[in-house]
Amino acid sequence: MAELSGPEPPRVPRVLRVLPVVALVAGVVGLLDHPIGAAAALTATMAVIGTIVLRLVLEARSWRWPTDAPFLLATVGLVLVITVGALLGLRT
Amino acid sequence: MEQLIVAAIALFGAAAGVAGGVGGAVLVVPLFLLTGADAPAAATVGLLTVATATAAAAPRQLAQRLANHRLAVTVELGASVGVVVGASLLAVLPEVWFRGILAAAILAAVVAGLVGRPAQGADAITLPVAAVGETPGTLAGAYALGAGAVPYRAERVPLGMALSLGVGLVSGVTGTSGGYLKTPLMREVLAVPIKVAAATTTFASGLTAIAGLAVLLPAGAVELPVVAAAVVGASLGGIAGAALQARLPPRGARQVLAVLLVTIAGVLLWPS
Repeated sequence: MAELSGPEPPRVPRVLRVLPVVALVAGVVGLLDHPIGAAAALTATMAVIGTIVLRLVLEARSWRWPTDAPFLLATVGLVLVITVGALLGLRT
Repeated sequence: MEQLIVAAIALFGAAAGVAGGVGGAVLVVPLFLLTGADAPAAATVGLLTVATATAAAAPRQLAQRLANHRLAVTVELGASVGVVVGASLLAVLPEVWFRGILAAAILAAVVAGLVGRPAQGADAITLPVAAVGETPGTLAGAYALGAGAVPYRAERVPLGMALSLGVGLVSGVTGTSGGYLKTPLMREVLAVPIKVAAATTTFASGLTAIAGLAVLLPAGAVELPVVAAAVVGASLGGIAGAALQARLPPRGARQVLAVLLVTIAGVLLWPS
Protein backbone atom coordinates (compact mmCIF):
# COMPACT_ATOMS: atom_id res chain seq x y z
CA MET A 1 0.00 0.00 0.00
CA ALA A 2 1.32 3.38 -0.95
CA GLU A 3 2.39 5.65 1.84
CA LEU A 4 -0.25 8.30 2.47
CA SER A 5 2.00 11.03 3.64
CA GLY A 6 0.93 14.51 2.59
CA PRO A 7 2.80 16.70 0.16
CA GLU A 8 5.80 18.67 1.31
CA PRO A 9 4.81 22.04 2.69
CA PRO A 10 5.23 24.68 -0.05
CA ARG A 11 8.37 26.75 0.23
CA VAL A 12 7.68 30.40 0.82
CA PRO A 13 10.41 32.58 -0.71
CA ARG A 14 12.50 34.18 2.00
CA VAL A 15 12.13 37.63 0.46
CA LEU A 16 8.36 37.46 1.03
CA ARG A 17 9.01 36.78 4.71
CA VAL A 18 11.62 39.53 5.03
CA LEU A 19 9.88 42.41 3.22
CA PRO A 20 6.87 42.63 5.58
CA VAL A 21 9.31 42.72 8.51
CA VAL A 22 11.24 45.49 6.75
CA ALA A 23 7.95 47.37 6.31
CA LEU A 24 7.13 47.01 10.01
CA VAL A 25 10.58 48.10 11.20
CA ALA A 26 10.71 50.99 8.74
CA GLY A 27 7.19 51.96 9.79
CA VAL A 28 8.25 52.15 13.45
CA VAL A 29 11.26 54.30 12.50
CA GLY A 30 8.92 56.37 10.34
CA LEU A 31 6.98 57.36 13.43
CA LEU A 32 9.99 59.38 14.60
CA ASP A 33 9.74 63.13 14.22
CA HIS A 34 13.08 63.26 12.42
CA PRO A 35 14.21 63.61 8.78
CA ILE A 36 15.15 59.94 8.77
CA GLY A 37 11.55 59.17 9.66
CA ALA A 38 10.30 60.44 6.30
CA ALA A 39 12.70 58.18 4.43
CA ALA A 40 11.72 55.26 6.64
CA ALA A 41 8.00 55.86 5.99
CA LEU A 42 8.64 55.82 2.26
CA THR A 43 10.71 52.66 2.66
CA ALA A 44 7.85 51.03 4.55
CA THR A 45 5.41 51.90 1.77
CA MET A 46 7.71 50.55 -0.93
CA ALA A 47 8.32 47.34 1.05
CA VAL A 48 4.57 46.77 1.33
CA ILE A 49 3.92 47.34 -2.37
CA GLY A 50 7.01 45.32 -3.27
CA THR A 51 5.80 42.31 -1.30
CA ILE A 52 2.52 42.15 -3.20
CA VAL A 53 4.07 42.71 -6.62
CA LEU A 54 6.83 40.19 -5.93
CA ARG A 55 4.32 37.58 -4.76
CA LEU A 56 2.46 37.93 -8.05
CA VAL A 57 5.65 37.78 -10.08
CA LEU A 58 6.90 34.69 -8.25
CA GLU A 59 3.58 32.91 -8.69
CA ALA A 60 3.39 33.86 -12.37
CA ARG A 61 6.84 32.40 -12.96
CA SER A 62 5.36 28.92 -12.63
CA TRP A 63 2.68 29.63 -15.22
CA ARG A 64 3.44 28.27 -18.68
CA TRP A 65 2.59 29.53 -22.15
CA PRO A 66 0.19 28.64 -23.79
CA THR A 67 -1.52 26.72 -20.96
CA ASP A 68 -1.72 29.74 -18.72
CA ALA A 69 -1.83 32.36 -21.47
CA PRO A 70 -5.04 34.07 -20.25
CA PHE A 71 -3.59 34.57 -16.79
CA LEU A 72 -0.20 35.78 -18.04
CA LEU A 73 -1.97 38.29 -20.29
CA ALA A 74 -4.21 39.37 -17.41
CA THR A 75 -1.13 39.97 -15.28
CA VAL A 76 0.44 42.13 -17.97
CA GLY A 77 -2.84 44.04 -18.32
CA LEU A 78 -2.96 44.56 -14.58
CA VAL A 79 0.54 46.03 -14.56
CA LEU A 80 -0.41 48.37 -17.40
CA VAL A 81 -3.53 49.61 -15.59
CA ILE A 82 -1.57 50.29 -12.39
CA THR A 83 1.05 52.15 -14.42
CA VAL A 84 -1.63 54.32 -16.00
CA GLY A 85 -3.04 54.97 -12.53
CA ALA A 86 0.36 56.11 -11.30
CA LEU A 87 0.74 58.43 -14.27
CA LEU A 88 -2.70 59.92 -13.56
CA GLY A 89 -1.72 60.37 -9.90
CA LEU A 90 1.49 62.14 -10.82
CA ARG A 91 -0.40 64.53 -13.06
CA THR A 92 -2.81 65.67 -10.32
CA MET B 1 -1.54 61.42 19.07
CA GLU B 2 -2.95 61.21 15.53
CA GLN B 3 -0.35 58.58 14.71
CA LEU B 4 -1.40 56.48 17.71
CA ILE B 5 -5.05 56.67 16.67
CA VAL B 6 -4.22 55.75 13.08
CA ALA B 7 -2.05 52.82 14.22
CA ALA B 8 -4.82 51.50 16.53
CA ILE B 9 -7.50 51.84 13.86
CA ALA B 10 -5.27 50.16 11.28
CA LEU B 11 -4.44 47.28 13.63
CA PHE B 12 -8.09 46.54 14.41
CA GLY B 13 -9.21 47.04 10.83
CA ALA B 14 -6.53 44.82 9.34
CA ALA B 15 -7.06 41.99 11.84
CA ALA B 16 -10.83 41.92 11.45
CA GLY B 17 -10.70 42.60 7.71
CA VAL B 18 -8.23 39.86 6.82
CA ALA B 19 -10.01 37.31 9.04
CA GLY B 20 -13.32 38.02 7.32
CA GLY B 21 -11.91 38.44 3.82
CA VAL B 22 -13.02 42.07 3.55
CA GLY B 23 -9.54 43.59 3.35
CA GLY B 24 -9.62 45.95 6.32
CA ALA B 25 -10.24 49.35 4.75
CA VAL B 26 -13.98 48.94 5.01
CA LEU B 27 -13.45 49.19 8.77
CA VAL B 28 -10.56 51.67 8.75
CA VAL B 29 -12.08 54.28 6.40
CA PRO B 30 -15.26 55.00 8.42
CA LEU B 31 -13.41 54.85 11.72
CA PHE B 32 -10.79 57.30 10.46
CA LEU B 33 -13.59 59.52 9.13
CA LEU B 34 -15.03 59.63 12.66
CA THR B 35 -11.76 61.14 13.91
CA GLY B 36 -12.34 64.12 11.64
CA ALA B 37 -10.26 63.10 8.63
CA ASP B 38 -11.47 64.03 5.15
CA ALA B 39 -12.42 61.45 2.54
CA PRO B 40 -9.15 61.44 0.52
CA ALA B 41 -7.08 61.07 3.71
CA ALA B 42 -9.31 58.29 5.02
CA ALA B 43 -9.18 56.55 1.66
CA THR B 44 -5.39 56.74 1.50
CA VAL B 45 -5.00 55.32 5.01
CA GLY B 46 -7.57 52.65 4.21
CA LEU B 47 -5.75 51.51 1.10
CA LEU B 48 -2.42 51.55 2.94
CA THR B 49 -3.99 49.30 5.55
CA VAL B 50 -5.21 46.91 2.88
CA ALA B 51 -1.85 46.72 1.12
CA THR B 52 0.04 46.24 4.38
CA ALA B 53 -2.31 43.55 5.66
CA THR B 54 -2.05 41.71 2.35
CA ALA B 55 1.75 41.86 2.46
CA ALA B 56 1.89 40.72 6.09
CA ALA B 57 -0.43 37.79 5.39
CA ALA B 58 1.50 36.64 2.30
CA PRO B 59 3.86 34.05 3.87
CA ARG B 60 1.10 32.37 5.86
CA GLN B 61 -1.31 32.37 2.91
CA LEU B 62 1.27 30.88 0.55
CA ALA B 63 1.96 28.10 3.04
CA GLN B 64 -1.77 27.33 3.36
CA ARG B 65 -2.27 27.35 -0.44
CA LEU B 66 -5.79 28.71 -0.05
CA ALA B 67 -5.53 31.71 -2.38
CA ASN B 68 -5.97 31.15 -6.13
CA HIS B 69 -3.64 33.62 -7.86
CA ARG B 70 -4.98 32.88 -11.36
CA LEU B 71 -8.46 33.75 -10.14
CA ALA B 72 -7.15 36.88 -8.44
CA VAL B 73 -5.55 38.38 -11.57
CA THR B 74 -8.59 37.44 -13.66
CA VAL B 75 -11.01 39.22 -11.34
CA GLU B 76 -8.61 42.06 -10.63
CA LEU B 77 -8.07 43.00 -14.27
CA GLY B 78 -11.48 44.66 -14.50
CA ALA B 79 -11.46 45.80 -10.89
CA SER B 80 -8.19 47.69 -11.28
CA VAL B 81 -9.63 49.75 -14.15
CA GLY B 82 -12.58 50.66 -11.95
CA VAL B 83 -10.29 51.53 -9.04
CA VAL B 84 -8.19 53.94 -11.07
CA VAL B 85 -11.30 55.68 -12.42
CA GLY B 86 -12.96 55.76 -9.00
CA ALA B 87 -9.88 57.07 -7.18
CA SER B 88 -9.60 59.83 -9.76
CA LEU B 89 -13.21 60.86 -8.95
CA LEU B 90 -12.66 60.79 -5.17
CA ALA B 91 -11.29 64.34 -4.94
CA VAL B 92 -14.46 65.88 -6.43
CA LEU B 93 -17.06 63.68 -4.73
CA PRO B 94 -19.10 65.25 -1.85
CA GLU B 95 -18.58 63.44 1.48
CA VAL B 96 -22.25 62.63 1.85
CA TRP B 97 -22.06 60.72 -1.43
CA PHE B 98 -18.87 59.08 -0.23
CA ARG B 99 -20.60 57.77 2.90
CA GLY B 100 -23.77 56.82 1.06
CA ILE B 101 -22.04 54.81 -1.67
CA LEU B 102 -19.93 52.96 0.89
CA ALA B 103 -22.93 52.16 3.10
CA ALA B 104 -25.03 51.01 0.14
CA ALA B 105 -22.29 48.73 -1.13
CA ILE B 106 -21.81 47.20 2.30
CA LEU B 107 -25.52 46.53 2.78
CA ALA B 108 -25.71 44.95 -0.68
CA ALA B 109 -22.86 42.66 0.30
CA VAL B 110 -24.63 41.67 3.52
CA VAL B 111 -27.84 40.82 1.64
CA ALA B 112 -25.93 38.80 -0.96
CA GLY B 113 -24.14 36.87 1.76
CA LEU B 114 -27.27 36.04 3.75
CA VAL B 115 -29.61 34.99 0.93
CA GLY B 116 -27.07 33.45 -1.46
CA ARG B 117 -26.85 29.76 -2.19
CA PRO B 118 -23.95 27.78 -0.76
CA ALA B 119 -21.19 26.81 -3.22
CA GLN B 120 -21.65 23.29 -4.56
CA GLY B 121 -19.51 20.66 -2.89
CA ALA B 122 -18.18 23.24 -0.46
CA ASP B 123 -17.27 20.71 2.18
CA ALA B 124 -17.09 17.43 0.21
CA ILE B 125 -13.67 15.83 0.45
CA THR B 126 -13.15 13.89 -2.78
CA LEU B 127 -9.42 14.26 -3.42
CA PRO B 128 -6.23 13.31 -1.58
CA VAL B 129 -4.44 16.11 0.24
CA ALA B 130 -1.75 16.05 -2.46
CA ALA B 131 -4.25 17.74 -4.81
CA VAL B 132 -4.29 20.95 -2.76
CA GLY B 133 -3.45 24.02 -4.84
CA GLU B 134 -4.28 25.57 -8.21
CA THR B 135 -4.92 23.59 -11.42
CA PRO B 136 -2.71 24.97 -14.25
CA GLY B 137 -4.54 26.58 -17.16
CA THR B 138 -7.88 26.74 -15.32
CA LEU B 139 -9.69 28.67 -12.62
CA ALA B 140 -9.97 25.50 -10.56
CA GLY B 141 -8.14 23.90 -7.69
CA ALA B 142 -8.57 22.24 -4.32
CA TYR B 143 -8.20 23.34 -0.72
CA ALA B 144 -7.21 21.26 2.29
CA LEU B 145 -9.85 20.12 4.74
CA GLY B 146 -9.01 17.54 7.37
CA ALA B 147 -7.10 14.64 5.80
CA GLY B 148 -8.24 15.37 2.24
CA ALA B 149 -8.85 18.07 -0.31
CA VAL B 150 -12.03 19.76 -1.52
CA PRO B 151 -12.13 20.50 -5.28
CA TYR B 152 -13.68 23.63 -6.75
CA ARG B 153 -14.02 25.31 -10.13
CA ALA B 154 -15.00 28.91 -10.83
CA GLU B 155 -18.26 29.30 -12.77
CA ARG B 156 -19.75 32.22 -14.74
CA VAL B 157 -16.32 33.85 -15.13
CA PRO B 158 -17.31 36.47 -17.78
CA LEU B 159 -20.13 37.70 -15.51
CA GLY B 160 -17.75 37.79 -12.57
CA MET B 161 -15.22 39.85 -14.52
CA ALA B 162 -17.90 42.33 -15.63
CA LEU B 163 -19.18 42.74 -12.07
CA SER B 164 -15.64 43.16 -10.78
CA LEU B 165 -15.34 46.31 -12.91
CA GLY B 166 -18.21 47.82 -10.92
CA VAL B 167 -16.70 46.56 -7.66
CA GLY B 168 -13.45 48.28 -8.60
CA LEU B 169 -15.26 51.53 -9.28
CA VAL B 170 -16.87 51.40 -5.82
CA SER B 171 -13.47 50.56 -4.33
CA GLY B 172 -11.83 53.55 -5.93
CA VAL B 173 -14.60 55.96 -4.99
CA THR B 174 -14.74 54.80 -1.36
CA GLY B 175 -11.03 54.14 -0.90
CA THR B 176 -11.60 50.58 0.24
CA SER B 177 -10.37 47.30 -1.18
CA GLY B 178 -13.82 46.15 -2.19
CA GLY B 179 -13.23 42.88 -0.38
CA TYR B 180 -16.68 43.17 1.18
CA LEU B 181 -18.05 42.80 -2.36
CA LYS B 182 -15.35 40.59 -3.90
CA THR B 183 -15.74 37.77 -1.40
CA PRO B 184 -19.53 37.52 -1.95
CA LEU B 185 -18.96 37.89 -5.71
CA MET B 186 -16.49 35.01 -5.75
CA ARG B 187 -18.73 32.90 -3.55
CA GLU B 188 -22.14 33.62 -5.08
CA VAL B 189 -21.33 34.33 -8.73
CA LEU B 190 -18.15 32.32 -9.29
CA ALA B 191 -19.24 29.54 -6.86
CA VAL B 192 -15.85 29.46 -5.14
CA PRO B 193 -15.78 28.06 -1.55
CA ILE B 194 -15.77 30.75 1.13
CA LYS B 195 -12.28 29.95 2.47
CA VAL B 196 -10.73 30.13 -1.00
CA ALA B 197 -12.79 33.24 -1.80
CA ALA B 198 -11.66 34.98 1.38
CA ALA B 199 -7.98 34.13 0.88
CA THR B 200 -8.05 35.05 -2.81
CA THR B 201 -9.82 38.31 -1.97
CA THR B 202 -7.10 39.18 0.52
CA PHE B 203 -4.47 38.91 -2.21
CA ALA B 204 -6.61 40.60 -4.89
CA SER B 205 -7.35 43.43 -2.48
CA GLY B 206 -3.64 44.14 -2.24
CA LEU B 207 -3.57 44.65 -6.01
CA THR B 208 -6.62 46.92 -5.73
CA ALA B 209 -4.88 48.94 -3.05
CA ILE B 210 -1.77 49.40 -5.18
CA ALA B 211 -3.89 50.70 -8.08
CA GLY B 212 -5.70 53.12 -5.77
CA LEU B 213 -2.54 54.28 -3.99
CA ALA B 214 -0.88 54.88 -7.34
CA VAL B 215 -3.51 57.57 -7.90
CA LEU B 216 -3.91 58.91 -4.33
CA LEU B 217 -0.44 58.90 -2.74
CA PRO B 218 1.12 61.50 -5.08
CA ALA B 219 -1.71 63.90 -4.12
CA GLY B 220 -0.29 64.02 -0.57
CA ALA B 221 -3.59 63.49 1.25
CA VAL B 222 -1.75 62.33 4.40
CA GLU B 223 1.56 63.16 6.08
CA LEU B 224 4.37 60.60 6.07
CA PRO B 225 4.18 59.88 9.84
CA VAL B 226 0.53 58.92 9.33
CA VAL B 227 1.61 56.63 6.49
CA ALA B 228 4.11 54.99 8.86
CA ALA B 229 1.48 54.59 11.58
CA ALA B 230 -0.91 52.90 9.16
CA VAL B 231 1.81 50.48 8.04
CA VAL B 232 2.79 49.59 11.63
CA GLY B 233 -0.80 49.01 12.77
CA ALA B 234 -1.80 47.08 9.69
CA SER B 235 1.36 44.93 9.77
CA LEU B 236 0.52 43.62 13.21
CA GLY B 237 -3.18 43.37 12.42
CA GLY B 238 -2.56 41.47 9.19
CA ILE B 239 -0.59 38.77 10.97
CA ALA B 240 -3.31 38.34 13.60
CA GLY B 241 -6.05 38.31 10.96
CA ALA B 242 -4.40 35.64 8.83
CA ALA B 243 -4.08 33.39 11.89
CA LEU B 244 -7.77 33.91 12.66
CA GLN B 245 -8.79 33.23 9.05
CA ALA B 246 -7.23 29.77 9.07
CA ARG B 247 -8.99 28.80 12.29
CA LEU B 248 -12.49 30.02 11.43
CA PRO B 249 -14.90 27.41 9.97
CA PRO B 250 -16.62 28.44 6.68
CA ARG B 251 -19.94 29.16 8.42
CA GLY B 252 -18.21 31.13 11.15
CA ALA B 253 -16.30 33.22 8.64
CA ARG B 254 -19.55 34.02 6.87
CA GLN B 255 -21.30 35.08 10.09
CA VAL B 256 -18.39 37.18 11.30
CA LEU B 257 -18.29 38.88 7.90
CA ALA B 258 -22.03 39.73 8.07
CA VAL B 259 -21.82 41.14 11.61
CA LEU B 260 -18.84 43.33 10.72
CA LEU B 261 -20.52 44.68 7.61
CA VAL B 262 -23.81 45.55 9.33
CA THR B 263 -21.91 47.36 12.08
CA ILE B 264 -19.93 49.42 9.63
CA ALA B 265 -22.99 50.32 7.54
CA GLY B 266 -24.71 51.55 10.71
CA VAL B 267 -21.74 53.76 11.56
CA LEU B 268 -21.71 55.27 8.10
CA LEU B 269 -25.44 56.05 8.04
CA TRP B 270 -25.51 57.46 11.59
CA PRO B 271 -26.19 61.24 11.35
CA SER B 272 -23.02 63.20 12.04
